[in-house]
Amino acid sequence: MNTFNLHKEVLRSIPSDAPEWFGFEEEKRCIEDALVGSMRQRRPCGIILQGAWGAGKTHAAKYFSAKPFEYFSREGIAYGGITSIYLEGPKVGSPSFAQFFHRVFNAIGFRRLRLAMEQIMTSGQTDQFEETLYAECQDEDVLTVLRSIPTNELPARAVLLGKSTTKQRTQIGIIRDFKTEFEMSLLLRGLFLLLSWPSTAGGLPSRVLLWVDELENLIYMRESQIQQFSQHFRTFWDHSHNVTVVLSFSFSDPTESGTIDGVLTSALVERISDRIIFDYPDAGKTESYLVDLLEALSSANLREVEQRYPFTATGFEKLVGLATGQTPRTVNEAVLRIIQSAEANREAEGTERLIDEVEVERHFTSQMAESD
Amino acid sequence: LIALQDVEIAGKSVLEFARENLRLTATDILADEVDRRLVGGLLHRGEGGLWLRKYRHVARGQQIRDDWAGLKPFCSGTPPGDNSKGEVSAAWLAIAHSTRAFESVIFVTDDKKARNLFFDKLSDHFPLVRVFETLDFVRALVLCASAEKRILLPHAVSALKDSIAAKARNTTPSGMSDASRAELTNRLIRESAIQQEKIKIAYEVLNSPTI
Repeated sequence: MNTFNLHKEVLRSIPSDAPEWFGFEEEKRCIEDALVGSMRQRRPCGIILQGAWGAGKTHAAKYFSAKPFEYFSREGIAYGGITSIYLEGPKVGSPSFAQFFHRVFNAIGFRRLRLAMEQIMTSGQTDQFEETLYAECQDEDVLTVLRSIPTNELPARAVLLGKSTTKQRTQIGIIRDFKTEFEMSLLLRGLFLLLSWPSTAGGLPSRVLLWVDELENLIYMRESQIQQFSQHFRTFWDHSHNVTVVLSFSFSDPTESGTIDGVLTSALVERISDRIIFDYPDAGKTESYLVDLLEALSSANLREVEQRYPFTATGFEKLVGLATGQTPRTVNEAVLRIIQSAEANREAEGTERLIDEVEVERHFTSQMAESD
Repeated sequence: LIALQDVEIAGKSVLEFARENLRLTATDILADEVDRRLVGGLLHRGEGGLWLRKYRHVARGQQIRDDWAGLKPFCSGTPPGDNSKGEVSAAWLAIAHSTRAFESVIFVTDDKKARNLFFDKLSDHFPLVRVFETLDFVRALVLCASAEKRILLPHAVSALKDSIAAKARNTTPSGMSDASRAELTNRLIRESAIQQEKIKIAYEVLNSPTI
């Protein structure tokens, strides 16, 4: 007997690559508004997502990265699209810009660069693109490498990775590799200009979103290393007019921006234009989150039968009460625990009764105690 | 030492500042420990070498007890074992320095066990012996340097952030669960904010105009 017949993969506590995002309509809208706002301005923009661990920030990043953002319009203005690049945060160790550059390059993928360059060439905008690129980077070699992407794939890839041979550089027509962190920041500007060039989005304004997660990990790093990293990051960011950087920071008191800023360097803080707070959800938000979650949990035929399945009305009410003020990650883990424990009981009893408030309380409380 | 060696005040090692402003001393047992850490790669060669050559010598020239029995009145619970030999000898060294001359002794440790073992009580009974965590020690050095107008507030804040980062790296066990690590990170962020606030207020006082 498969007692509850639910899609339990919905209850993942770690977001998948293309997740649905239940509830949190206000946060969704705030992020969308901030993104559209940043697209209206042809200048570098910064957004920070502040929330407790498990509040849904990474989920938001993956949701927006997976969501197609092409040819949309807002308030009568048409936009070409958004290219999202998601990066996990810096880990313990030294946050070098070279390491960052290679992670960005891997996240973009060479194929995406080749397609963008091909589109520019077929749309006859090569000269215009190269002119803009040179104005932004002031570097002939960046121009030459990007130009060679569609025709000299292997050498171009080797140069972008900083691992080219003399022969490969000669093939492309440059004399140096991009080895220093400053050169990498120039190259990054070029790559982001390429990805946000209007010809890749039907001639409409488009933008690159760079999501940098888990910035709270900076607390483990030496100031001299952070300063060095942020200096190069700033060089690239300040000159990338079509880039919005979305930083994510986990802290148990997400409204305390001063405390959060104390961990980030001033170079980052000064470039933040929007702060989006993922606060602990109240009862209303928790209920709407749980309703969405349970709908997704139920298989298609069950969805229409009972919105709160597999809970009784009072069981659901109890669940909302206990889950209020908890992060979605905690709620997901608790709901999974409740369902699994209840399932085991049903198997033993040979019944299919719904989960009541007594079971909800017992299993939720034991899950919380284990988490502590 | 491991926690302090990567902390900088305005580009200069905090241990350099300590050398300039304080008399540093190590017992033989601590020096042996330094030697082991040096071999294990946890301690930078230059710093470890100094402690082995120079500061060990300072302690060696003196007759210092190293038995735990005399420290019994301070010791609550189980008597210290072989693992605490370093603490026992450091305690006697601190007593010697604070009584033979009217000299204030700062014992720097982040080891809560060592504090609970007898250092906190020792400090209660020998008022010239103070026990500092590395963060308080760095803050004291920063203020000392700042009073001489050598460093600015942003540098002081950076030094404290370095101390927290070093403490975090040295105390985070490997294989920690994500939830525990998130909890630890929260505590560190909170501590960082408190330390920054303290140093800002101290700077305000130091730089306040004379009326």
